[in-house]
Amino acid sequence: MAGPSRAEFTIALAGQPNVGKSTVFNMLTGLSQHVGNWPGKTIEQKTGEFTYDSSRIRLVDLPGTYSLSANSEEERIARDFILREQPDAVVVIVNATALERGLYLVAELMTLPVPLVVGLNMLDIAERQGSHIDVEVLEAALGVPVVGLVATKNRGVRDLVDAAARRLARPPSAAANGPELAPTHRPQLQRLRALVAGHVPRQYPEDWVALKLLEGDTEIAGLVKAAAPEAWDEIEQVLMAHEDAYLDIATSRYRWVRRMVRAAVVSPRAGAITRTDRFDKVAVHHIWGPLLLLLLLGVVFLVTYSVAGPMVQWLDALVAGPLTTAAESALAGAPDWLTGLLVDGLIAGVGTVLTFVPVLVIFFAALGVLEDVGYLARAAYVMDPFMHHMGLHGKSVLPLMVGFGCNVPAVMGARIIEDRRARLLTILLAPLVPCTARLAVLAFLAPAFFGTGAAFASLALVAANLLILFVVGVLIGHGVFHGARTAFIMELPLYHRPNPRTIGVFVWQSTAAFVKKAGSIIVIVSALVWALSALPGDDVQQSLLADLGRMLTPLGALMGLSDWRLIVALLSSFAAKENVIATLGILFPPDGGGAGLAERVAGVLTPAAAVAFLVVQMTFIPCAAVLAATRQETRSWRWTLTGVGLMLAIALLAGTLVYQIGSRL
Amino acid sequence: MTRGLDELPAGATGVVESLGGGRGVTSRLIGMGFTPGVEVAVIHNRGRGAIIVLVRDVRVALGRGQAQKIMIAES
Repeated sequence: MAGPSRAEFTIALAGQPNVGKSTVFNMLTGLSQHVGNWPGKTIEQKTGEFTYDSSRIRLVDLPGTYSLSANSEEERIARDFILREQPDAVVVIVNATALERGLYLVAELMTLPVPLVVGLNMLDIAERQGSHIDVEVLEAALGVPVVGLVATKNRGVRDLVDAAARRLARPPSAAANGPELAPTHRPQLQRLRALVAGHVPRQYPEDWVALKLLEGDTEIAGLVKAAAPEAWDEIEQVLMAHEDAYLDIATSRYRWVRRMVRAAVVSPRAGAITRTDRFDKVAVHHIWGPLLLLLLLGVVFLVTYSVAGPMVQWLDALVAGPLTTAAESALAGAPDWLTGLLVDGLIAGVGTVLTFVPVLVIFFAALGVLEDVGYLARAAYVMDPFMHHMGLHGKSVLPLMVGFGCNVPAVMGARIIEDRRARLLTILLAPLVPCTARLAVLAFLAPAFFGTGAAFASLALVAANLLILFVVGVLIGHGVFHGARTAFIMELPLYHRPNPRTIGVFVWQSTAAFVKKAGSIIVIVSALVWALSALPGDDVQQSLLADLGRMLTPLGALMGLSDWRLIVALLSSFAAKENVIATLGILFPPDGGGAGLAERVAGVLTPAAAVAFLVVQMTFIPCAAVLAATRQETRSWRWTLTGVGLMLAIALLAGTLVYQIGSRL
Repeated sequence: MTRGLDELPAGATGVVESLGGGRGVTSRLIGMGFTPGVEVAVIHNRGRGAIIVLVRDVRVALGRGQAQKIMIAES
């Protein structure tokens, strides 16, 4: 066979969003993926490896992009990778149900000097909708290999790899029939081509540079200006006189796309009402839409807690019981401080991380299903009017929803928002979404605080929390960012059956990210909190932590929290929100009265102070892991600390208000 | 007669005549399939808030501000 002869090859996987690109990527690489960031960027880079015919293939998942202009970081990354790293082949995945738009990206890729293979995915859905695409005719028309795929059923993926292997490190398709520019601007293109000749860096094809210049591409303009200052004046004159050329170029590409489609699509689709349209009657309705979202979120929580709850208890018992006993007996001869550090510090910290895992796995699985069937874009759409008030648009809802599971992936998920200000605001608001850890604390204390009204009180507190998020969002959105809204342009994908593998990978990666990022921080900070509680002596009452708590009691008194132990519990939540319970457990030891921990805590609180404590608990500073994620995503300590200060101010203000008003009622 | 895409009621179709707004937004719209001459069908439009249109077989949600700047020649 005309297979590869070298030992290692790189294939780049390109495609627009919602074409099943990640399904193909997951099929080929499984869990052998490496997830990191593109160098110097906060955009996720996934690479994976597989073996083909005794060669190692490195598969690089390019960011999903609609085109290859320089509009977004994603688009710049994708084209820079192809031009600078020169992969041995590019596989572009096209959604057969959105063939025209997908071929637009193919048209752009065909102008780059790289062997190209087209994977035509979701052929089954296209058939069901009544449009039949003749793959061979399309291949002949494009002059580029085309492979039909149903990636979710692993159909055609093997053929796609075969086709890519045949193209590896070959010259770009000589037979490719790429689009031609409409006559209107051809003279200008030739003029630019002549002007840049010999002036552009080697990796950049001159035809492509000339075309991108004419398209008004600012990045390429900068590149040419730096490389050929003597020619720039004349180039600029051409560009100034033809600023509208980009529309002509885009239209030419789409006209070419139409020709390809007309050749290859045998029976044009009938305008039938699809399943998607029927679902959307409810899902994007201005009344039913938000209700459906609320209902789905309710189901997600119900499933999360009813399935994960027993597992958490089991893990908790395992850590507190056998694991602790084993560690204690293994350390029998060790000094007390070492036993303390390892058992009360590290093992307790590891336990906290462990007990989060089932909750996160189930939550992310539920959310992954909603995402994979195509629902989440609808959630963003129905929430758009609410987000509007904050100067944000619907897309910000997506990371915030993830925040109900854990704020860390929520902060990281804000990457999907194109505009920097909107992204910053979303990151600042993410810690105000009550995460599973805070909800767990609430669920633990509420029955003792509110008796039979616990469920209602908890719901009211969560609602109040979200109201605070909304008000803060409106204030910052208008006060600091002046309500400037960026364009809301979002694809609503077709609904389709969820793919277990895609969801599995999503769950695995979200949870792994938590364990890796949050895990180490939680363990370290747990050890630190333990040290503060154990120094200088044995008695926690005399510890540094207690001193710190006592120092802050005047502040706590404003909120009815004049018992230093409560303040210390709140402070310890910096390590991980769930630590509140563990710390209370240490500070409120059983008194022989038979009362449970929550009752013992309730005993020192007036009703108003109890509510204030929970409000502060839910809005208090972000945990260490969220802090680290915020720093990483904003790349700014100023914004990170602004976020912490903001949360602190909210917690103090809300706590004080609740207590002062509540105790006067 | 031309009017903004936001003025088309749900169920109506039209042909895009021009794309307004900054270069960045226009370029994103082009990537989504909006170009002069393309037919669009409005799926959802309540008279306020974002609208949903079908363009080149794809459903796209558009903020009202963006929709206003897409001029439509009525068909």
